[in-house]
Amino acid sequence: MKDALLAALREIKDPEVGLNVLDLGLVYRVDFDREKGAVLLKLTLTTPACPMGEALVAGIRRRLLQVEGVEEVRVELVFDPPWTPERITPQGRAELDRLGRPAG
Amino acid sequence: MSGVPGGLSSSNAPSFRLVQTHFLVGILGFLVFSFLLVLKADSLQGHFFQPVLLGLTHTCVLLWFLPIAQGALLQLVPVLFQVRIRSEGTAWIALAFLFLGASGMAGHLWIYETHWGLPFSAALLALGLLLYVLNLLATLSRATSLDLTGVHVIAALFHLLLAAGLGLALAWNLWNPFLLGDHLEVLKAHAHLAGLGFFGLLVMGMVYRMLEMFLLAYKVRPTFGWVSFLAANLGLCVLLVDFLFGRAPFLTAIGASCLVVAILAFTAQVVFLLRARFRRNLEAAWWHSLASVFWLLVAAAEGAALFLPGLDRAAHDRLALAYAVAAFLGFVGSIIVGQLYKIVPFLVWLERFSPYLGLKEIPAAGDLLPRDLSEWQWVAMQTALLQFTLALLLGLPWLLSMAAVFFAVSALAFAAAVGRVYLCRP
Repeated sequence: MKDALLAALREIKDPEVGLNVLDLGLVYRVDFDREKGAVLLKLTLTTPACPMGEALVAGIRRRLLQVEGVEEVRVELVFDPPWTPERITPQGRAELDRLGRPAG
Repeated sequence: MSGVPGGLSSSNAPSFRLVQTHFLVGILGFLVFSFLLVLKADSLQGHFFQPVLLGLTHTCVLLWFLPIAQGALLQLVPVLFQVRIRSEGTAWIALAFLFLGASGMAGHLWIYETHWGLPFSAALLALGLLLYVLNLLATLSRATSLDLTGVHVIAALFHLLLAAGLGLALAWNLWNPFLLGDHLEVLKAHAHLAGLGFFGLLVMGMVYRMLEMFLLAYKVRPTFGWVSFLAANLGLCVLLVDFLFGRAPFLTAIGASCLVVAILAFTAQVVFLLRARFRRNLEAAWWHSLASVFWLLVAAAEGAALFLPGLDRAAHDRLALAYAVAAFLGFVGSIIVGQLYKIVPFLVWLERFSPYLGLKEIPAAGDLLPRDLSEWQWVAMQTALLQFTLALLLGLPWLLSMAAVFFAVSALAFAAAVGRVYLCRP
């Protein structure tokens, strides 16, 4: 189940940076309650004032609800620890390179 | 399914229509101004106090710059400071007053008709600005914390009120003279309050935050930003006293020096942010922002050169106009065009594409902007600005006309690029 959830999250791209939310390092934790069919997601944003935040959370929720067995999605936004560019995965850095945005 | 988590700044954003109407007025103002500039390019010669030039300047500042700056603030303040706009209704009323007052002002100045209609238009405009500023200050009063950007915005709003007050006094003085001081010195105070006090501080404050947010420029200490903020406000206060209460060379020198320090410190802060950015690729929006910093430095150099001894009257007038072109069209115009290239695609994406995120493949916000067109627009606009500068500094009237044509082409390209973004649908 976890693999299916992570695969779904990989399909959601940050509309500004162009990376998916996993490789961008926005997802802190994914839990699944099999009995209730509930996903609990701990998520951060690149900044608490992220103008895309609400759209991103709504998009994640829509996508996860399409995963078989998921009945409910709870998103908890956390800003401690705050996001930093170091959270971008090596795959994310490679993708930024491919997009012409080599990581500093 | 639970609801959207609370505390998200984007949920505080004002209505799409409110911000877009401000932008639409500003884009139309840009087109009208550039068209008038082609018709009257030859007015960019001689002393700055001439009817057509005053009409052009007020068309540019009040009908192009101001609606866009106000719309951008209405969008960004709630997002950045996580508060709702105090009253959207007041923002609509303020926009109506702004449009009516600004059109009346520009028209009266263009034909130099100084009857009661001029101060009446100025009063409408001042009322609109007062409503707008009070609305935003009431909004900001609910913010839990204010950073470097926040204090820039608040200071800019105070300077805007002062500029509007002096503008009203100047308009009244043309109809019914009452000012004890020199009208032209008060006009200089008004122009510096509007150009550097409002637009300058607003641009500086917003640029810091936009660079951080969009280019992922983290862990940069804001020291130079604070130095710039303090020096800019000190310099403006000193110059204000100098302009309004009789010129004293030492005050002029202190005020101008403070502004140069402010501009250099701002540039240093921007350089540090750019060096720390995680996203290396810079699109047309950021080319405009870099050009804007360049023109601010040019304006500082030209402003300082105005104090050179031995300048004859004609050279002084040309240099003064080149200074105004660099400060207004170069610095403010470039940044306004550039930041709209970021904000408009973002708003259109949020309004029309975001409901499909997670359901189907959709483009990123930046992909909505036609890249080639926006890049060519940058080339045309910056070429025009360089031509204006050379034409003014070297006294080449034929080059002024060519520059105006390039500038109008850039305005059309900008309207086409942004128009295509507005037409994008999923």
